[in-house]
Amino acid sequence: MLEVLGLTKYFSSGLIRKRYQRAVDNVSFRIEKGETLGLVGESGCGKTTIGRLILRLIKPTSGKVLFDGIDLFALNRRELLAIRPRIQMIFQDPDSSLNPRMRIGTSIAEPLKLHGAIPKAEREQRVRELVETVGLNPEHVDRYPYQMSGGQNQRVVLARILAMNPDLIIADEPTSSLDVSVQAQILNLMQDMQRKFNQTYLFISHDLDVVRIMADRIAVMYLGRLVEIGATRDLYDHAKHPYTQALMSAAGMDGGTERIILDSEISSPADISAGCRFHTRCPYMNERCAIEEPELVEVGRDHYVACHRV
Amino acid sequence: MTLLEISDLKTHFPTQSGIVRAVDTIDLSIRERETFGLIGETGCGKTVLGLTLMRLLHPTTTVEGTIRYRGKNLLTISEAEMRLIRGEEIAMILQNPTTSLNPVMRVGEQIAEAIRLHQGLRRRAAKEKAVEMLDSVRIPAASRRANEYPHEFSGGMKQRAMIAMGLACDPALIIADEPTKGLDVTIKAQITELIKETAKEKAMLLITHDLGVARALCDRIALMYAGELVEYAATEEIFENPLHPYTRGFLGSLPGNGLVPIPGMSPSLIDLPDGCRFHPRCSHAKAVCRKKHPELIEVEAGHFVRCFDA
Amino acid sequence: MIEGRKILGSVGLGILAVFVIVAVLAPYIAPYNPHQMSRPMEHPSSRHLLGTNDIGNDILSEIIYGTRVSLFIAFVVSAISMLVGTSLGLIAGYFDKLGFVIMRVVDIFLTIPRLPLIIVIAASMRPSIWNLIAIFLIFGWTMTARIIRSEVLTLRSRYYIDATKMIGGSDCYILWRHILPNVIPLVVVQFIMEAIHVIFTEAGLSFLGLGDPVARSWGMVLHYAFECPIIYVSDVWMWWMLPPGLCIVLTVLGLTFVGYALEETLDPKLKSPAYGRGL
Ligand SMILES: Nc1ncnc2c1ncn2[C@@H]1O[C@H](COP(=O)(O)OP(=O)(O)OP(=O)(O)O)[C@@H](O)[C@H]1O
Ligand SMILES: Nc1ncnc2c1ncn2[C@@H]1O[C@H](COP(=O)(O)OP(=O)(O)OP(=O)(O)O)[C@@H](O)[C@H]1O
Ligand code: SF4
Ligand SMILES: [Mg+2]
Ligand SMILES: [Mg+2]
Repeated sequence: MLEVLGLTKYFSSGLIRKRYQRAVDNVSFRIEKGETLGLVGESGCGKTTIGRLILRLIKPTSGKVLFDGIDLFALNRRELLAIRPRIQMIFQDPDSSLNPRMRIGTSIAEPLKLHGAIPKAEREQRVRELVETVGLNPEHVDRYPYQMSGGQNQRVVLARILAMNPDLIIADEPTSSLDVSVQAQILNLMQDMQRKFNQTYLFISHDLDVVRIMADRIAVMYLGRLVEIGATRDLYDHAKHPYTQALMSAAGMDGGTERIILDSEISSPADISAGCRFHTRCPYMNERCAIEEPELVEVGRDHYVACHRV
Repeated sequence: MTLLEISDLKTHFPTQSGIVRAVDTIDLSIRERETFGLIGETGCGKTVLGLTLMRLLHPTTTVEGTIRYRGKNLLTISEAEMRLIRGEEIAMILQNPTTSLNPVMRVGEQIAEAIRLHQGLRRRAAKEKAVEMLDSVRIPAASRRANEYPHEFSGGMKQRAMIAMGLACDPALIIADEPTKGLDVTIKAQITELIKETAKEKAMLLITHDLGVARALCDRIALMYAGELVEYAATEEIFENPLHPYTRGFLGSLPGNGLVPIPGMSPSLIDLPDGCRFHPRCSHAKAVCRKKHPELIEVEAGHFVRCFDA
Repeated sequence: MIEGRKILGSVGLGILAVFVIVAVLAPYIAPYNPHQMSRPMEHPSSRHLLGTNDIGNDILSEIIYGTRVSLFIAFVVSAISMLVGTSLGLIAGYFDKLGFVIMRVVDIFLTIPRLPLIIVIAASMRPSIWNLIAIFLIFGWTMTARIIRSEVLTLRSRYYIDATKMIGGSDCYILWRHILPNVIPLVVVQFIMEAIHVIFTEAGLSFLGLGDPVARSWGMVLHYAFECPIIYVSDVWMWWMLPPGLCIVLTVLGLTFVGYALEETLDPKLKSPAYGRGL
């Protein structure tokens, strides 16, 4: 369904002395139809950037993205406009995903209006249904985004995307502003939709409990690189990469297993030295790690790790 | 010693479809150096409560009741006096980082501005302090990052920049609206640690959806439902001995317990149910619940519940 | 605060309304044709409320017709500048490559000192209203284009633009439906700024004698007053110079008040609870 090959994005900054931010570096993965791939990693490691690259909202430095066999980066304007509705992204920040001058109802109706000439009455009916599906009240339809709470706006964004009924959904922390109860409701809804329409998800989240429930496979990123990818069970039970292990052990915030605290300084994408990106914080670091960058190697069925230790 | 005492507070928004009773009669007090957690369904009025305390709502909003801060009623003092209190005495970490940061100002400058306004530091010193603050919230290469614009930050980095800004002014009371949203587990643990460290000498009203964070940080926790408090008690008491059916449902819908949302929908704040506001969704609802509005009563020392069943 | 803005806004609107009515109804209000000559240098009397000038024109009528000229120039220049400036600003902000070219042109214009060049061009052309308008237009759009562009750039960093692209909105659709409505408040404020600028500059140019000698604006009235030596040694200035000067000041004041009041109603950021003033 979706195949990402060697995707790379360097952000440049500074006019005279250019500096590069290696936000995403040579990332490859694939997602099958109807599957959910969870994407986790430290804040600022490039997860959102991957999503924006797939949607072609920013230009890649290099790499390829195949969607149903179509090379997305080779499309011209017209073809892109035609394929875009099939791929949707739920942005991380719901408040800025909505036009502040547009009423909620108008925002939700917008995709319906842009695609297919549905009569007005039917469209309004559809909007009412969508509003209800995501657990909002009819009274919210006439409001502006600033009159809504953070979690309400997040559900408006979701309703808008459900209206499109896309094949691939890139969900960037779709429930970060929701309380646990509504979160459960929305996640159930997403699972139902996925089953019903055989949708494919790239599910970005920091909440490992949520990822465990939602994802079939999980990809772990560290400073722009993919460090481990494998089936959800394998990653939770037999994480191989030291970073994944640390991540998983920190998951139980309230006690349980003793957690490894990653305490040393965080290096930034701009000054990544040679070698493994994690070596400055890795408890198992040896000389080789500081010199040579590890490649992803298969360690089990469909389980890949980039670490010299395995 | 009581630092902030809220009594009979009501915040109502007039809208086209009716009056939205976002905060509807809240009584609560925060002691000096206490961390008070506020938890509740999305859209129940937590942010509005915070904004009311800061007097940051649009002038058409009706606010009734009293907010006593160190003896002063924040609702009656002049705007000039309020400006002195804002930032210097009470600071708020806002929920939506993207829309709260100025897009055309460098992140470091924005933090430095807040510091300069409230602490009278010079430009250079304020800038240095800003970088220091960014570093303390774990922004890598903080001195360089301080010169970047908000759009060059990832979602979690913007969130952390907001925290840095809130902590930088060194206020006596911090209202933190979902400060750990969008942070990965390791950084969240570090930020929680930082907040805990800071909160030792300060009072804090912590609004959050993350029960783990609330448990780790708060001395007392209150649950809010449809504009009013339904239960509050010491943190461990809430987790070990929840009495209100809403609290129980809430704890039961944690993703670790599968995805079991509280049945039903959150009520419209324009047209609140008669009797107990939770009764349409409550499995314990009796005849009296439909007719009479329960009062908040102290069932055990320091444990208040608004339920006929408790 | 809010009340204050409203009151100021109404006052400003009132002032502007009076001037606009005067301008539109000039032929009916003015007691004389401004070019009609009678006894020169008459003091104010019931026949000539503000007296007559050195060639015998009724000064009040001159000022009333001058309102037409001054406001007409200000309005036409601001309107066209806004149209051009906004369009170019939108394009420059949204399309990177075109934007680069447009902004270099704007930069060139903005580095040229505006006022001296306007004076030089005005001096080298035959003085007429249309030439004045043309001269103002050369520069009028540049600032607007630049301001609108930077606003579009910040709007583009908001995710809702991306979100609309995603649901299949074309560039034109996004510009028209999502970006334009969000820059309109800026355009209105720019319109007012530009009008203020034109009123002042036009008065200045006319004062230097570079205005249209036939269709006399307020500035032109002032110009002729200053050319007349008697003005320095008698009371004549009180009815010949003060009134047109006051008209200029009042118009600018009215515009400023309206601009100030509009800032509140047009800017949703000021409406939304905590935008940018949290701490
Ligand atoms: N437009 C941009 N210009 C420059 N740098 C950018 C830009 N967008 C992102 N970056 C940088 O790229 C890196 C990756 O950002 P990204 O938003 O993908 O992180 P993320 O994994 O989504 O993090 P988070 O969990 O905090 O949202 C960050 O260091 C960020 O500062
Ligand atoms: N300006 C406004 N006009 C009308 N209604 C409003 C306004 N601001 C907020 N509301 C409504 O008031 C209620 C409380 O909003 P608030 O932002 O406080 O929720 P919240 O508890 O912070 O939720 P979340 O956890 O999703 O942020 C919501 O139902 C919202 O729709
Ligand atoms: S490669 Fe070396 S440094 Fe990197 S994670 Fe593995 S052991 Fe640690
Ligand atoms: Mg992100
Ligand atoms: Mg909120």
